[in-house]
Amino acid sequence: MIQEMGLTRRKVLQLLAWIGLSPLVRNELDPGARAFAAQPVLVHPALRGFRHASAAVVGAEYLRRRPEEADTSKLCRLLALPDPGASWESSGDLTLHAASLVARHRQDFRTGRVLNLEGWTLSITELRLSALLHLST
Amino acid sequence: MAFIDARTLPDGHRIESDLCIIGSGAAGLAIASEFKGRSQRVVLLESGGLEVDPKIQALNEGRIVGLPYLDLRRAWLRAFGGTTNHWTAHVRPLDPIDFEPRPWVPHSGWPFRSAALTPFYARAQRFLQLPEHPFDVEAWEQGDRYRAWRFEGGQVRTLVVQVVPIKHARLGQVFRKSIAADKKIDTYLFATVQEIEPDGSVQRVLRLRVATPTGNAFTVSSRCYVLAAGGIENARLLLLSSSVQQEGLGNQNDLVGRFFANHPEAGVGQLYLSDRRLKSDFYSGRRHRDGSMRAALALADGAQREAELLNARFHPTRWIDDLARTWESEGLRALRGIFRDLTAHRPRADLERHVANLIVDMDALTSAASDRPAPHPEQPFTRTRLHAVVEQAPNPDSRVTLGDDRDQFGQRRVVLDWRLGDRDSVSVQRTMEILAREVGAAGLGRVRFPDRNFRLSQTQSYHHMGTTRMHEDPKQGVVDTTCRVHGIANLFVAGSSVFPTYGTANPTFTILALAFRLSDHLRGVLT
Repeated sequence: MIQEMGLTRRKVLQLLAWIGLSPLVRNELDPGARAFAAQPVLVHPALRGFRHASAAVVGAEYLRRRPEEADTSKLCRLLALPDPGASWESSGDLTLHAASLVARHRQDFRTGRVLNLEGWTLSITELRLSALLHLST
Repeated sequence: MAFIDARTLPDGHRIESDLCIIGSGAAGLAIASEFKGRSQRVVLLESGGLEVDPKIQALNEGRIVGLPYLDLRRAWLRAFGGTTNHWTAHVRPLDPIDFEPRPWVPHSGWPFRSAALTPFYARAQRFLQLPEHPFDVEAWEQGDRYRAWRFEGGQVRTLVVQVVPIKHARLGQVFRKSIAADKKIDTYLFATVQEIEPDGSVQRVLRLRVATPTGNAFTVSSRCYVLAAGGIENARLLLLSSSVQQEGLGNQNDLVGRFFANHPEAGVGQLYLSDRRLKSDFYSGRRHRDGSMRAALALADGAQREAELLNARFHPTRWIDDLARTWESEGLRALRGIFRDLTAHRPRADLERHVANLIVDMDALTSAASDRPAPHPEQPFTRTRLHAVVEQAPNPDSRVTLGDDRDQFGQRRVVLDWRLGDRDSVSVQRTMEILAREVGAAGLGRVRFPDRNFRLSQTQSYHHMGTTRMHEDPKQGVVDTTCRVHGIANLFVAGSSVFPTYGTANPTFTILALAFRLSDHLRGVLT
């Protein structure tokens, strides 16, 4: 499936690292991310196994409602993340990407860019991140 | 003089006094206590005895024709101390916005602003022996290991509800000795008022006709009368007083009994906290050295104005808190409601787990970016139920009337037609949407509000309000700003029946504040 979507394993790992949901992977990829991943939150061993799966399930729910966004390039563009086709070296500072996502996520709540998913009020940013994970795993 | 058992009075007995208070609940006792040691003769009439008696409570029975309502036999108590005999003793003043006329809420607003009640709230605070700063969040945080949650932007606030210790809340017990010891205050037990009799021109009350369960009857004539029998019984007594004014006393504009209101309550959703350290304990009930409190979330006054909403407060509660409150109050009926809330619209278990994981991960990313360490739990399920206590918009079609059934004295029983409008439910939905966004923006977690067809339809509280509402204009209110019945010089009403707008605060604190305000007025009138 990954190959069908034009994603190499390395690019998938990069994506996971960018969106902050795979600290272990990010730690392997980039020394700059290592410090970021050193937060106890992000390296909690109990989280490594199922968090991607959870985000993917939520992402699938999101894409069921917005099938027009079921495209990794589109999602990256909407999230202002480097396109998965871009080289890793040009992707910039990972921490900045994470900070940008956080800012967008909070801004979503402030401005009402939210979606009701089975009663939960979730930000569009966190839902798109989840959708990206769903498409990437 | 000590308490007098009215059943021992000779039939046809006549009593004269300066002030007669009908009802010895919170309002009646507050007013009576203000006359302790003074020269005026005060008569306090209580329909029941010193203890609650089911036979006397049967006088409350009536017919419910509107929304489902609580058991009227327990909805107000006929015993010395009135309904404070089973009061859960949660107190809080009304919010400033509750006093304001709001263009988006028809019939809203009091004839004065909140500042006018500030000194009387302070007296109510002393009357209940509360700590000095009972509604200050920061004061309660001091010395507590738990904190109120912090929100950005000022849209959402935390408010404090103080819980009066039972030993101070059972006002009949608190004031029994001092009222009995006062030489100028006579308390008549088992004295049920049958009619308030005015003169022929309905400008003054001449006397009260009173009966006892043993069949003897007597009259009380006073210079002034205060009707303080509760939000339903106040209206009933005015409507029953129809020998001269056929439509009932003060009812020349068909307002007595209208605008009946209660605080609708419902479990409206869940709050999923993204960090276990964000304990809900500050909200779910804390006992401190100075007393006890609960806290709730509510929209700030400005946010209510901007979105044109009614007031509402949301208590994050745990299952055990709900259960405890249930046994304290309404029993199985409320328990069924809670079970219904908990089981209705339950999320798919797998999706709930996945969303909870996502929420924790996302807010951890937020925390990491702001350098706040946030250890994650292995099972990130920190979920609390949001219990809403809601302001009802004034509704003239929600009302108390008299039916054809008769009580043991031959008096017509009440018919209660409690109604809620679409506005009430829609306002809760929109408030939840704002709350959900603010919780997310603050990084606290996420709110789940599962029912898109949400409708308010029940209450768990005996907060009867509005049936003799206050307004300067007799065509819009039963009592004027001094709580005097429009057109009748010496008849006053005390209690939540005079509230023209209701807020979300439990009413007793405001009942007491208004009672002290009325006491000052009466002392001026009676000197």
